[in-house]
Amino acid sequence: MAAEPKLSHTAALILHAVDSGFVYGFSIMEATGLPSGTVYPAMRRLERDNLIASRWEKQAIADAQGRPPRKYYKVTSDGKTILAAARKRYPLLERFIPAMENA
Amino acid sequence: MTPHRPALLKFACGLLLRVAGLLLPERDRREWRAEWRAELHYVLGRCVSHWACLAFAVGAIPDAFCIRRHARVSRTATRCLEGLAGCAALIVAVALLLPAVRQQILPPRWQGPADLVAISFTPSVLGSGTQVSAGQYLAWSTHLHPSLSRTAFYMPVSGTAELNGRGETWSVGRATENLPALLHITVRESLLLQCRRAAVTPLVLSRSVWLRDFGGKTNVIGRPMRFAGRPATIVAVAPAMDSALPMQMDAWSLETGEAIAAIAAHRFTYGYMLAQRTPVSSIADRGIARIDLISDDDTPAYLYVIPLSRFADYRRKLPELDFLLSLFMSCLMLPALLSISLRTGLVTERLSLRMRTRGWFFLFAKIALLVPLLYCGPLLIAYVLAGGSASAQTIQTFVTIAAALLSAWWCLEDQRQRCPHCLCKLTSPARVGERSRSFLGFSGMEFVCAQGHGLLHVPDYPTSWFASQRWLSLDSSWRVLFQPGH
Repeated sequence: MAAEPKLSHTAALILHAVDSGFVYGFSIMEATGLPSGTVYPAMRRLERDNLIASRWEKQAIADAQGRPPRKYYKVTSDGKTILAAARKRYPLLERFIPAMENA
Repeated sequence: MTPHRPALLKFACGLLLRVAGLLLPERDRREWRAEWRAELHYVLGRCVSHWACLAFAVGAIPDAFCIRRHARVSRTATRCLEGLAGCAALIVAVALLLPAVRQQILPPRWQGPADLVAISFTPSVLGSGTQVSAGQYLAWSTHLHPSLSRTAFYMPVSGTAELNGRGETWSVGRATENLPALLHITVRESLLLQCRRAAVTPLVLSRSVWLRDFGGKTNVIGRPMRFAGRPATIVAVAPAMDSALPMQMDAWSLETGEAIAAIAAHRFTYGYMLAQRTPVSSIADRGIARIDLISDDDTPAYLYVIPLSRFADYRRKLPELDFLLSLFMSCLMLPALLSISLRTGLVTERLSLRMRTRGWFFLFAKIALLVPLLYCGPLLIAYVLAGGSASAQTIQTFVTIAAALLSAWWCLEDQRQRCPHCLCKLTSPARVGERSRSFLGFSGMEFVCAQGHGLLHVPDYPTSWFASQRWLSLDSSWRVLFQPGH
């Protein structure tokens, strides 16, 4: 990457939430307390900047549970680098959102 | 939560997602909707409040805008035409929903009796040639042409009609008593007789006045009122036939034979004479025909009979003629008011025929889509500002001219700001020039096509060596810089 993007606090919070195991939009909304109109556009920008990547859940798994398939997000290696820098910049990020297993 | 509420909520949220999805380019729409539907499924399953569910769905709108911005679709030619088509469809739909405006756009065809004609000195529906004097009417009525069976006459006067304590100025035709029968308007004989006995003027309302001043109420028959200071009674409402008469009236007052004779005693009392053709008449059904005059009066030797359908046809075309006249006036004013031209050195290279055709097609498509907007928009504005009053026509004409000028300016300016290759709007400045102290350096803006087709140099002020904007094409080796990811 030529120039590392500087994340806003909201974008860093969302990136941290994805890294913490909140892997789809609604769970990120619940974890961060941000509205859908903020979370989804921020995720689009993070995905555009290649900081997170998305994949669709397999149809068979969703069908077995009788629900529509979801789109899951995960932090890319670039995203992890940027997130590490963001954690230094916003040291309270980890207090806002504990890791999924501790939540 | 009642059982039908979740379904309604799901429908409302689904509708919001569907509408928001229209903002997206088609290639992204399906996946975007699938993601939002899946998320909505979980939100609805959580049994959070209705408002929370709706607020979640509303969030789809900024998300759609975000994707739209990333996709840079808002500046393409297709989006421009889609936007214009959407606006045109919306304005036309709103205009058609309002009955008064719809009547202007789609005036009803004349459905009245085909055997009614107007007697005129000239073979035209325009001008004062259609007027005859009351004296001439009386003379011709007594020596009726064999092609005509019945005649009636009305003379326009204006006066104040007093309605519920307020005064309205009406144009009323002082008509012969047989006018309603000729026009197939039913009048109760008893009511007419009652009026005569009480020396009250019987009034026949036109449909437009009945709708405008009486709200279309059915109980107006027999209602007393005052017109021009005289007591009057409404005896009938005419069907929608105003447009078919030589002169449109707000109402007709039915006068006795003596009153008409008194009117005829004055030399300069002009009005309109209507007649009915005989079933075996040789006069053509829809055409204007000439009849020889059988009268010893000092009048021309022949007259014309004009079917009433001709007046209706002419008035049906009036809004279109007004619109075309407004457009014509705008075209005349355009060069004086706007200094935009399409041949200001927009392109310094020779474009292929295909590209030039596409550019011209885009320009004409924009103009074609603006026409319904220009026709219906001013009608709506005039209706909102002036309702059915006489000033509505003036407002409509002025708004049409102003809107046409604005649209022409926008069409040309938009065309000049687009890449001639992909027709995308050039909004990315590559260089902002500073004003040159020696006037030798370039001062202006340089825009770059987002797909790397070229650069548009727009001077801040025209100089002898750089008078107008110039397009500089970049060769294909530059395209790699404009690929996604760079």
